[in-house]
Amino acid sequence: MAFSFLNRESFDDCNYFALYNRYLGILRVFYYVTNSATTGSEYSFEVDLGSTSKDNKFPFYHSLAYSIPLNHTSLSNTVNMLGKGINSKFTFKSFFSPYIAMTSTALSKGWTAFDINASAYSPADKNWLTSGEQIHIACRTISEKSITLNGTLSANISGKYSSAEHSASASSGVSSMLSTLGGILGDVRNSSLAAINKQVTGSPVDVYFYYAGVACNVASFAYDFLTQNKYAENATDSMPGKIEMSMTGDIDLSGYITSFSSNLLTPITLTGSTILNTNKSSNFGKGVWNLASDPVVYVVDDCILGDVRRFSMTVNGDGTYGCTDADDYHLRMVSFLDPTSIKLNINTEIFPDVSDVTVTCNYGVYPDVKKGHTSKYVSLLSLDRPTVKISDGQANSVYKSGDADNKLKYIQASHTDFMSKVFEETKDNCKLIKQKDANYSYYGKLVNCEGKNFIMSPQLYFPIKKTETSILLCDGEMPDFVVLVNVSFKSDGRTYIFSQRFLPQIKLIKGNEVKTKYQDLVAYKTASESKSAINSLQNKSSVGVKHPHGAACIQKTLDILKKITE
Amino acid sequence: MKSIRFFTAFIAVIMFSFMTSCTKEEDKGPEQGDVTSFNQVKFFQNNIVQIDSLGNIVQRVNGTQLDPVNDTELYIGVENIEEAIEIFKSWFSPDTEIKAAVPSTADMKVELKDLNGKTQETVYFKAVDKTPTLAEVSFEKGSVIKYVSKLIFIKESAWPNNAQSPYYVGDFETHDTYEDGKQKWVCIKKAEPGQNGLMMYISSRSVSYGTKYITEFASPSLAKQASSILRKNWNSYVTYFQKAGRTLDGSYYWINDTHFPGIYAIRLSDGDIDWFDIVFRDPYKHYIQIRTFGIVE
Repeated sequence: MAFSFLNRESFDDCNYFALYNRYLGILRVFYYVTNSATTGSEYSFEVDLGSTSKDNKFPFYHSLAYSIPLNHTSLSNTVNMLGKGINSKFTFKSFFSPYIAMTSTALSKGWTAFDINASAYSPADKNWLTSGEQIHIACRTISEKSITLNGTLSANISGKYSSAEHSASASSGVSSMLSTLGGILGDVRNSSLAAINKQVTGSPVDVYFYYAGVACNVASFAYDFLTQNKYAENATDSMPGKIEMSMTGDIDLSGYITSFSSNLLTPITLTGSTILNTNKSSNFGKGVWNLASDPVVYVVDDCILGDVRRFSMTVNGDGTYGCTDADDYHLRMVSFLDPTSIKLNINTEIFPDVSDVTVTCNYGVYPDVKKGHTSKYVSLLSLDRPTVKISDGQANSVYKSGDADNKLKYIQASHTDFMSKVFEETKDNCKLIKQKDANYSYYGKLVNCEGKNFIMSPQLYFPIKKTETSILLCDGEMPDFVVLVNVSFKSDGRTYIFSQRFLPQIKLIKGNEVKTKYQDLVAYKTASESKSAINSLQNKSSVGVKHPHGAACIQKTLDILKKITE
Repeated sequence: MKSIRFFTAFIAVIMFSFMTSCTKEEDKGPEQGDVTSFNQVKFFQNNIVQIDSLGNIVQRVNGTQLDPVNDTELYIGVENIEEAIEIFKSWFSPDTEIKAAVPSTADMKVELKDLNGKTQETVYFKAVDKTPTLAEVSFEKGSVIKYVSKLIFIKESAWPNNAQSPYYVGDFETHDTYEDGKQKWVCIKKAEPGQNGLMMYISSRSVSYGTKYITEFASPSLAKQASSILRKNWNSYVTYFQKAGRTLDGSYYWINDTHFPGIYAIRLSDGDIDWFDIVFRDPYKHYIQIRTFGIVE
């Protein structure tokens, strides 16, 4: 028991209680609705993680769209990360989809529940319980009328919904819906529950998880490929039940919420003392695991790859280059994730005998999500997003690929030369894919994870702008790279698997740095193949962290780096 | 050489007959006029295999011979049927009507007419679903269009070798010109399988057409094609020609065709082709030359 407001006369209709699972880091909050006189047709729970202290929100960082590593100790909490239309002055405010047993879409009398992911590891000196930090929970309703869609819908959707043991309200999908509409809201769920369930039960997942967010699906997918142990997560949703749908056409549901109302339910405020008064030895707020620092993606700053023997462009002096056949040249940057930058913390208070720690990491992009979908986090976390300049030349000059004094050295290498074996990439299933609302594309394999396309380790193209009278190549722009991290470990005879997604720090490297990094990664591959530890837990150096699938994952990167360092 | 003498004689006859009958300034007529109708056969012919006035091959423009024993079946590599359609449509003069041969299919039928509006040949485009062939172009009579009996669009990936273009856009090549000796030509289009690349030369000085030969100047077909290419990235090409010491701008450039009492010139910035009176007037313009090249091993 984490806390209970039941039977407190001073809190009329404040019928909350919560259980905390210290192994999962999940706070499950139950609420009994006594007054159903609310407006709106759907509802969700808004959890405001407070604003008084910048340093004591660590436990909740896994509940955000992108997890935040421990090196971010002083974040601005005045950034509105929730998108247009949401009146929020706080940094960390998330919406949680409730579990509901009623078929009505509106809030109705009876029990409802939702989970707060508090699995992010919190160091002892950032103890939330003693910090005085507050969590505000309020039930929010939303009316269909208050949603503005900017996108277009052209589709034929047919299918059926069949409920599980408990019938579910369509409103349980509200979090997903908000996520889609707000562009950033709803990806607050993580995969820990699903992943752990699989591992603990030892059987494929055959239930419908409440926490089956995108991070889970994508990261699990990566893990599946590597383990050749396919999950059966074919119908995950945020409600108990199953939707079978066939869809044809394109759906663009970009938009925003124009109004957002509260209702008559009493909001609550939690503090560490509330928890400690219920259970003096509560582990709530301590979390389970987190990264020590931002993962690092490197982009080579002095190399440009292309398919043709040579080419030329006119230099316009403003970061653009006249390049008539830019499409045919397949001009690309070299980017790769440094797996050694993944540094892990695991709560050794909860898991004192932690062992067999492994990490599997990959990076990629969501090409169908509007460009810039990570920008608010990037800004919040002060992550670098540099530009790869093709030329420092003067306007009206000509860049010739073979010139010795070019800022970027041109290397001919076909885009089809580099395939990831572990992700079963072939010329047949890889293609050129454009990033939504951007001028740049990727070459890679589309992975459809629960409706969202993802590309693992994409080859990143220089942007191309086209008008009626110009075809311009542009200096390299950094896309919304996302890093997927799967962590597994053993404790007390059980195996635990967690997965989250993070945003990387992007660093430019060139010259000898590239050669050194290539040698480092060759050594990394060797260590991975020999099952040696890559590094150790940051908070317990005696526990090594292995990357058993690292050699397979890094193969494509090594192929590219070998080519450019030859 | 025969063609040059022939054309010189032709121009001389035109000039003599009109200079003797029209002496007053007001009788000179307009200096220039729109070209609204083309010899559609000639236009098409010169977009496949350019020929001179005697019917001799000047250069191949589109299509490559792949069958060693059949030099009139020409192949073109494309990515898909849409690209094949786009290329096919680009071969015809602006006044040519392209009709759907079969409703709701990609098949097309084009009647090529002479300046009198008389149909000389009918060209058929037929989509073919037989890998790697995507479409075939055939001719009803087969004798009007020279040096080609059939054009076959095949998937570029099925092209039989890994040859690449010897020149890429912006490359220079020093080559003989009509009257300026060896000069820098600029690559405006790289070669692709079955689609020849284009090198273009802009003359170093403007010339009076009246005493010049014209057969080496660009055909209207190639000039139109060049204009279409240049307009897609105009400023870049301006820079490329600047680097070659030439000026690419919005003026008219002499090309190779006639419309009494004038000679054709093209404005590359928008593709407009006008005729300019060379009989009663003596305009000076730069001329353009275009030659093709194919991919190489």
